[in-house]
Amino acid sequence: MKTTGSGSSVSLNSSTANHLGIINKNNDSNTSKLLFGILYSLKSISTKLIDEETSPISNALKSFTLGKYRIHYLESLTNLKFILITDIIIDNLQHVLWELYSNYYIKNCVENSLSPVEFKQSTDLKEHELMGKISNYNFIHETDHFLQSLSVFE
Amino acid sequence: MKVYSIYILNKAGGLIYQNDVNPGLNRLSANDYLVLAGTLHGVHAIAAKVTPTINGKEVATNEYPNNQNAILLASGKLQDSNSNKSGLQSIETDLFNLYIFQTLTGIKFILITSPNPVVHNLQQINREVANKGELNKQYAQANEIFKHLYIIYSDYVMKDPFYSLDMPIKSSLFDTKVKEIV
Amino acid sequence: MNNEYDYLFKLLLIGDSGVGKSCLLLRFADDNYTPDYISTIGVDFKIRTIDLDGKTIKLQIWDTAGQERFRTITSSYYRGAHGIIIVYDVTDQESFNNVKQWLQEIDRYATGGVMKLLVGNKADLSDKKIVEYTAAKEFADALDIPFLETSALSSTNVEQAFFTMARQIKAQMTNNSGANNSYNSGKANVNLKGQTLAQDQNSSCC
Repeated sequence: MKTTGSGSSVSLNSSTANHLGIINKNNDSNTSKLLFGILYSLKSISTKLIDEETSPISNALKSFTLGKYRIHYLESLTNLKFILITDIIIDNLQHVLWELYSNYYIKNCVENSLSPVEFKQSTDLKEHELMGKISNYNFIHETDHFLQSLSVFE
Repeated sequence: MKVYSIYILNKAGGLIYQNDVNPGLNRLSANDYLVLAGTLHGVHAIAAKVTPTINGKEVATNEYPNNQNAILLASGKLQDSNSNKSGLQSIETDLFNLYIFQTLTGIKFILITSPNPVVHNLQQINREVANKGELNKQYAQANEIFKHLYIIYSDYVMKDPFYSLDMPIKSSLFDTKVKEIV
Repeated sequence: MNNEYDYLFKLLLIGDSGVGKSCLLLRFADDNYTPDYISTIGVDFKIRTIDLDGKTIKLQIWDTAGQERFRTITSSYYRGAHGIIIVYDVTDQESFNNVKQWLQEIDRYATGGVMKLLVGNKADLSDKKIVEYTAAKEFADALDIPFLETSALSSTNVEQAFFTMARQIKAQMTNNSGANNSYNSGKANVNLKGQTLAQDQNSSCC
């Protein structure tokens, strides 16, 4: 699942992907607002507890565990949030997220000259949604292929 | 793993104990700590409510197993004193990790520790998953500390005749015992 | 170390959205800066430090969001509250009608015997006033809840109400933990004494 900075959800549920990315069906707007609230609060806690003047890097949230799930989190400088939801036995996936961002997202979505077409405001957008979901076939296909090639994916 | 801070929250989400055992975290005002505790309490509550579902089915995250009562009656002991089964359990950031343990009565113990070592190599990560990664190793360590904390809390706070329930803990004996643990 | 306060009381602020709950406390709280948590996790925190009989008390006020989407979440904020303040808008009949529902929520989620207070907000808008003082007072009296009207302009009586509440909570607390002082707050207490058994009771069994 991947969310944009505004909290509106553009989801690509990769952890349970079978063939192509599936859109998260549970993503009714109230739940996603609450999820955004969790993220917002945790992020503010992570920055508040660290003295910004003395620490060399700014503190970023990497993952958190809810119930039986671990949520792996990476936020790009442009406030794009990359999120993978896994079982709690799966350890640190920061590099997978980074890979998703730097290789797959940048290559297929940012450096794609067709992206204005693929990201065009579709007419069936719900309220608060800034842009449509990523429909780029290459991105969906390659991320799925990449995730399935990982040893954590069974 | 180095423990930075220990917080204890009463069942209402109020901060009743706070001990910065080792330096490493920003020092906040008492009010900010109260807000922090309340926020964590709130996030924990939300997390417990928005449990993810797989293929439209709720995944059972029972706070207690069905035979909990039977186990309790037979042994007089709880198998796992941590009732935090569906809420927020841990947070990992670049500079610290935070763990939450909740007792059956709703008291939350919160532990803030140094972050786990960063692994820079993707192959290495994959290998580590097989033998329980760093995150889970440290989670187990934190749970060990929680167990001891719970014991000394029961012994030196709950059995203190001058302690009023849900109020700030000001026992110096408890302080010393906490220091001994970490 | 955690030595700055002796008591920590949790007060909960509830009521429909738009009744001005947050404004009520702006001047009452220690610091005016407020992180915007209410729109994200359904609760905001305001803290006021007071001194009472030489003890430092922190009043942590949980200002909850009135929006429907937080209803399931806010219910979990009732736990362990010492006092609950129900706010309505005197220019909005609907918000007063909903007070009953809020009271039901309290009965369902909060600890029994929790202190309650009914507050009619925006009393300065007298030309738009719909809910009359007498009607609200009657309603509150019938339920044995203290009542007051206030506005952002004159928050003095709110302060007063909070102090009174803190004093009552503290009194209750010291009595609970102290000796058997029978403290009577006007609420029905559970009678633990029971009835003395009649000595000459004839039992049919042995």
